Amino acid sequence: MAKLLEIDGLVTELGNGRDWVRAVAGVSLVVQRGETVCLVGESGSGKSVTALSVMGLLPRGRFRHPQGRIRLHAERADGTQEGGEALDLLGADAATLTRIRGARIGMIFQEPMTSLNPVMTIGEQLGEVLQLHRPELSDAARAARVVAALEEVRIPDAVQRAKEYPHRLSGGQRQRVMIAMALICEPALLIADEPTTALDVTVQAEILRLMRELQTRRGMGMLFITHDFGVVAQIADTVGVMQKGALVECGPVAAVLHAPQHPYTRSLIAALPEHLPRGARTPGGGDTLLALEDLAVHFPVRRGLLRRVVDHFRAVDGVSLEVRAGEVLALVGESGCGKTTLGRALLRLIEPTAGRVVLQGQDITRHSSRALRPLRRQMQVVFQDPGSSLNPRLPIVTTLVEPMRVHGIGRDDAERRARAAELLARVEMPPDSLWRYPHEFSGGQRQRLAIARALVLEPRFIVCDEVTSALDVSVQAGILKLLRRLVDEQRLGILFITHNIGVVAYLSDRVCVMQSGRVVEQGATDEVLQRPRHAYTQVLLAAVPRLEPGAAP
Amino acid sequence: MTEVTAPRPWGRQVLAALLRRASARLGLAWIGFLVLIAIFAPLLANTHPLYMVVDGQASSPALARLEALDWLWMGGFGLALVLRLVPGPFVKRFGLWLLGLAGTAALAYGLAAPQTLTVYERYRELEASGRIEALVRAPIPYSPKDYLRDFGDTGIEAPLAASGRTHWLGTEENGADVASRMIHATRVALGIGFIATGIAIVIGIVVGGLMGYFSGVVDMIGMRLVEIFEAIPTLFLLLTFVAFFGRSIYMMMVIIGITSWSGYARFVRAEFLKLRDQDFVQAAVACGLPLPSILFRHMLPNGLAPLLVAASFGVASAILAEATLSFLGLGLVDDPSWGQMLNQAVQSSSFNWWLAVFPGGAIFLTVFAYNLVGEALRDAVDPHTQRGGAA
Amino acid sequence: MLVYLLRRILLMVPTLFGITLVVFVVMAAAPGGLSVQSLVDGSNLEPETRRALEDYYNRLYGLDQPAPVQYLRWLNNISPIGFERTADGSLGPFSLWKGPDLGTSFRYGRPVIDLLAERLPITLLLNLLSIPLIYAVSIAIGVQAARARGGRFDVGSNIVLLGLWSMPTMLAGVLFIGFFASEQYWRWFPTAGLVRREAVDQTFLPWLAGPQDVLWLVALVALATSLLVWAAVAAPRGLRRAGGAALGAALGFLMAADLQGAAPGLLHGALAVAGAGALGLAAGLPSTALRVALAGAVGVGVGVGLARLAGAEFVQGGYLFDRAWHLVLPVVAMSYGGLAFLAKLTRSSLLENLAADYARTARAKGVDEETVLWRHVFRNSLLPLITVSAGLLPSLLAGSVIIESIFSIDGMGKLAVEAVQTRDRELVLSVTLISGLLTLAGYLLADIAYAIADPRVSYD
Repeated sequence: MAKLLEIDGLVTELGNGRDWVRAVAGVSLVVQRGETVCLVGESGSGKSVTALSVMGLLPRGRFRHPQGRIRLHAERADGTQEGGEALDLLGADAATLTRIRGARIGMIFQEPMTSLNPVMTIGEQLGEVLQLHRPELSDAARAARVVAALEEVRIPDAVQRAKEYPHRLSGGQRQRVMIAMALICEPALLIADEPTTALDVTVQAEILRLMRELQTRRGMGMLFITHDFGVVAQIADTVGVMQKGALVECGPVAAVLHAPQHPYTRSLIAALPEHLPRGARTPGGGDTLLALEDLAVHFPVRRGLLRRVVDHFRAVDGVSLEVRAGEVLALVGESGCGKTTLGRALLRLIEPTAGRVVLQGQDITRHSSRALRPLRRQMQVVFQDPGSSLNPRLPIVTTLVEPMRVHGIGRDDAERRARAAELLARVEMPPDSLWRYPHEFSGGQRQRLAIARALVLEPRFIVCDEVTSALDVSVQAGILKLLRRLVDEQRLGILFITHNIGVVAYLSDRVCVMQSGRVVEQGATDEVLQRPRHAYTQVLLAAVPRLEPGAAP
Repeated sequence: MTEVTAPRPWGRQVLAALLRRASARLGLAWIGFLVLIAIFAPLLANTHPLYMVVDGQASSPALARLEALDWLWMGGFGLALVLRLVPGPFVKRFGLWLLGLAGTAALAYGLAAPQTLTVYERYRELEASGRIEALVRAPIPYSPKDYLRDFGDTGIEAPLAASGRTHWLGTEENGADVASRMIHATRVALGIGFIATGIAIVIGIVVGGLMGYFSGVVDMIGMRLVEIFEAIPTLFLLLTFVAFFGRSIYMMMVIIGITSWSGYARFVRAEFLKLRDQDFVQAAVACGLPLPSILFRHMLPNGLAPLLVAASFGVASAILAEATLSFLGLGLVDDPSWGQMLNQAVQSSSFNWWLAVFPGGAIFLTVFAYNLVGEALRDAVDPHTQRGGAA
Repeated sequence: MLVYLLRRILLMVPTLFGITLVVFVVMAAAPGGLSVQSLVDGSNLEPETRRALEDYYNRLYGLDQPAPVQYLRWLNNISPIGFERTADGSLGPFSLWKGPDLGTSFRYGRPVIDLLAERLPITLLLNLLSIPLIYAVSIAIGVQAARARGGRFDVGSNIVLLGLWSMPTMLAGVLFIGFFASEQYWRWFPTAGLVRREAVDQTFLPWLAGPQDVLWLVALVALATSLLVWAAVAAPRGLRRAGGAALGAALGFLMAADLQGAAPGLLHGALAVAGAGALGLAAGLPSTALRVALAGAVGVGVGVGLARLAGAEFVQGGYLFDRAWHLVLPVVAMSYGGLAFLAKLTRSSLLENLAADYARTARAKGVDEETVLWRHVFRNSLLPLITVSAGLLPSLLAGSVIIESIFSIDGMGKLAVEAVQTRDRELVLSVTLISGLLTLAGYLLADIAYAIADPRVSYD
């Protein structure tokens, strides 16, 4: 194999001209032709900045490279220049860089929803790359190439799609278009920055397969950025682990994943939910805390002159389930399947259209909001986004004490504060957190505080809506352990809404799979994960990227 | 984000971020200067001497003639100075200040009884007769309504053009001193700016908050109302109001207030709609917190920052609205106002530049100052530029 | 789309009702607001005539009836279908095609519709001239500021624009009239109105004194303009600066000489320095488009001025020329505020889009920075400008109230002031109705334009 991209002691500093922060601190890395190198690391580890440094796409005037070299060995299109003069990308002028980008190096980004220009058609955007780098092509030839490129990434009805605007496409299709656009000039190197992170797991599997296939067919080199070790196992030949701007370990994928040398790599792999030690579980059988009977939430679709309701969007369409004390029920499904709507509807944050919500034997579906208020003590919720889960204007103490005061817990504020401090200890937060504001905490700490807020009212039942999806894997592990401990020690019931199968396997006792508003399969976690009966569950499980190919969770 | 800093209330942070900007400091300095001028207007420009001794008898005609409103302005200032020394959260001290102001108002309107008949010539005659033994006059020894009748038929005069009298900024059509009128007009401008905007914001918060939180029918009716008020050009509605109702300064405040609330309502509604879906608000609902707490404790403070920015621009446009009305001859009748003086600049066949440059310049600088502050405030509360915004 | 349009137009009707209702309530609630006395007062009449007039008004407008009835009667009058009105003012039979009637102005004694037909076109002319000017200049400034973010032009233009935005329209108008139209200073422009009385009878195009005068004019204007534009495009920055400063100083000196004679004095020095500073800075602008526009304007001015100095008597009236001459100051005074606002908006919108994901994608494709700006970012950045254009119309209408009062232009704005000052009920309501209609039409147009510009918007 021949060297394609050579990163040598790269240092990248970001800043505003006065203060500089070192985002990449001396990374050396080689991508060979036809090889996939994965850069893996947690958020803020500098993996994306490394990729953007290669492309020279960091915001103008906001970065500098005090040290390092990036060299590209693919100056000519036919690739005849093996071993010849390499191009120094860091020292290249703007004209050289625009000639390289799109032609020699293609790039795909994380957010397919915002990465395409909303006011240009797909065809125009693909055609533009050809116009820039293959100006000799005629209009007809260019159009043909565009359609061919779309067909290559398996966009159905490519001729028609080329005339459409990006908003008509789904996220997965847009990412396919991005791939087609990056590859239309047959670059020697493809840089993919978390290309599947924003996608559902089944779509992710298809995109990964497609990328792998295109890469082998063309013999491209690929620099693939991800935070997901499952994806690494699927696609990488070589993997580099980044921590705080430095490459701590780099080697063949099998070696790094199965015999990690660096302690950081080891801790990361150990923190994966499928590697977390599962304690002995007392099987369920506690009393039923919450039961849903044929719960439905329909949103009206209004059209026409008089805004008449012409149809309903069935977000939740007749779901029945129950959560018992001392168990975690995982609600699994892909985005848009209605799982979050279900969570909000059973808390009566959204009004259910039909069906019943029964809380500890009491039907609360038709309770007025006043009548519901005292019952809210028994069911609490923790949300996904650590950035907005706590009121930014209130110190933690107020957030924790106010609900207690409303529900008459504790005699006076001093006692309530003491209880709040006790709760902080239970979620493993320092006691002085009470007097701080949310912005002073990291994402994982805020999720712990949000859990403390939910526990303050001593509920029997908690809805956790994707509580760990915005967190890094090591932080996620801590939160998961905390939740499991609360369930085991206090016999809480938790409805855990998630899209992450690995988390389900560690945390839940029973699992419930949702698809387009309906529950398609329900059962004990091991049962469902080992022997899925419904076709959709099978597809879903097969799509999950795993460390050991073919291994069951 | 792991390092632990001392907790700093959000208001303090914004203020610090605001004061880091030179433009904000300039704007605030100009506004502060105007506030000082407004407070001490009767001591700065007054025909009545501050202190005089006539036939061995010392007196202070200026103080004796202070009106209830003058006492109120100065009382408010004194209270603010005292309360700066009192510890406690800002909101509490502000409440105390308002309370004190109400008390001062009651006292002032109950006790102050200035002589109603003013004979401005008296002091000048006294001075000419040589009976005055000691005399301290205000820096500008003319009251805003002192039309200098004793000097004969005076009218518009250029700065320093009159013999025997010094008018630094000239005189207006009735012969009153422009500098004096400008100093006293500061009160009109500042008062209208603050109170009219305050009224507009209160209406905006109530209507917008109801629309944003309840949506549905309330929202639809509210939005129609907002649309109606937005589709009438504000100036035109103002003109109609002013022409059909009286022209007192209080009426003007109310009128400017109720013609400019629609923007704030739209704003608060959008902000509330956004906040209602935020996780911490949903969590507050799930905790069973009562509605007032959710609205005023969890939603309003988080929507306040952009509202504050809008208010800063709003004060500028309220000041502009008053000036425009006065300019169009629909403003205050006899009271001094910048816009009314500006109107006289081209009223007669000649162009009196000092009536354009000085009052016009004052309007411009004040509006500019508020806009500078508003702009700096917008940057200061912008989550993109704020350090502690996200993890 | 068609259904959406229909729906929007139908929704406009209640809003229009609301607008007139608000204004009506204001008038009716005012102390002594709408009564026949307030109409007849002030006119010096015999008691019988007065009584007759009062009766007539009462029958016509129902002024002796409670306010809600009055409003309903007014609605009936303006509605195209409703009860006909008989000659003595009382209500007649119901008719499906009686036609709308906006009533008669109390003070002018003329049908309101005639007054509006006279005044509205003038205000619309002012607005239609201002809007393209505002958009063209503000986009040029905004693009330049965004391109060199944090640079000297960005910071400088930001302060100047904020200053312009804070400048009260009436102050600008008064200063314009005072310095550039009054007898005391430079009498370059007419003080009042939109047309001189003589010009009304003249031909549309200017008729010219003699061929050599015209030749002089054309030659001098062409020479000055082409020279300056060439310099703006081709000369290096240092030379441009020096040349601009020299030209500015000369112009400043000439301005002072025009006022106080050629003997150098304090004013000469001050104006020369100011002129040198202004033109020197303008010549140093980094944006070629802005420089060319400025150079062109200055060139035409210098050419006309030189021709004047050479003694060419070229302006021999002509309706078009006269009208244009009258429009310069009002249009400038009306435009600068909106211009400042829009330029700032353009800048922030462009900056936001330049940092967007799709712009990064374009760069990753190998598109150079200029093309990213113009082909990818520019069209997306126009979207907020379109939204804002809806609000521009009401603010321009408000601006024309002030401008028309200052420049004594007989447009809708001045009519509005006169109407409320004389408490002319029919006129006030009709002006409200028309301006409300114009505003709503502006909103609708903006929405349609948005739907065309943004493929994501679908109305159904």
